[in-house]
Amino acid sequence: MEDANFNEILNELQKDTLNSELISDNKLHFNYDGCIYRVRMPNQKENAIANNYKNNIFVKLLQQDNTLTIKQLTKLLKEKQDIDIEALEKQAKKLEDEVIQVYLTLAKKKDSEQKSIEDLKKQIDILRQKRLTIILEKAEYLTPAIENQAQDDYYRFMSSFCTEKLIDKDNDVWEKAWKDFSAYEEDNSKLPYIALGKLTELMYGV
Amino acid sequence: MITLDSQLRKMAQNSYYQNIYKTSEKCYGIKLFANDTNLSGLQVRFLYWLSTYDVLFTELATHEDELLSSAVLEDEYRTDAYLMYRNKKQDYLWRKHRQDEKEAQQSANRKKGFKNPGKESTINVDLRRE
Repeated sequence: MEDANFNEILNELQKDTLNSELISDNKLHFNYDGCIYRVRMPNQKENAIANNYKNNIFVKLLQQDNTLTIKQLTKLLKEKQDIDIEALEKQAKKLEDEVIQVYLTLAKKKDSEQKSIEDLKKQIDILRQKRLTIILEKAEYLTPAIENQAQDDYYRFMSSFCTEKLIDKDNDVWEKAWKDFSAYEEDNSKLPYIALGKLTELMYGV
Repeated sequence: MITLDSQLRKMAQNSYYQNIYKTSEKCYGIKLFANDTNLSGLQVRFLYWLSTYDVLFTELATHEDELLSSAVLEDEYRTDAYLMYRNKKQDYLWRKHRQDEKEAQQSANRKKGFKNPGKESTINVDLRRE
């Protein structure tokens, strides 16, 4: 996806979310292209179907040539590219420990020590940003692993049937945004990405 | 940019939600959410912050810890910092309590031992010069 498109999607995701609708029920509303959409929590049956789909994808990828598990990819990256995933994990853990130490120092500051408080908050931001960069770097290296591919497909599959479009506002009538997963995959608009982001927010609160 | 978590925290601090939260614990029929089951991740996160701020507001009112002030609760960084400090402190107190209990038990066992001595044992020592 192009950067400009990606930023537009991010902006869409960040818009108009400061309201009680976030938690009033297990659905999350959003606007796209003049229409109102919502993502909802999957029920038990849908969860089971999505898990089954993920497992099938995983087994299918496992049987293909040139596919790698996270463990195999980690080994290959180290041997062929000198990229050490375990070292990245250690760096991230070290930064996490450093952040905790700064937080513990911050906790002991009195309200009057404003300058010191602000300095510590900046330190926390810097350390968190460094840690995030490492985590994203690691995630990027491991994207081709079949576990991650299967997991990505699981979320895409889930958002294909958990996204609904408002058809009749007066009577509160909603219908599925895509009739099936194929229609979702064939949709070239930004809607599938936005729905995926909203579903992740709804399911995991992040 | 305000993160989702910041929004949930702001709502959780709000007296309206705090009151509903406290009342819903005691009065059947007062609900926080339209759904009773299949809570979303956002709702679970919101409940976590509701209960956390409920505890912190109570501790603030009872002056539980001198490091906790209303200025701390208005600042997310400082609240997070205080929560980490609080966890460490509770962990330390819990370990200390366990250690004290263990020592008290050992001391009690020793005293019990003196009251009810066990079997006598003897050992032969040869003190003759070689």
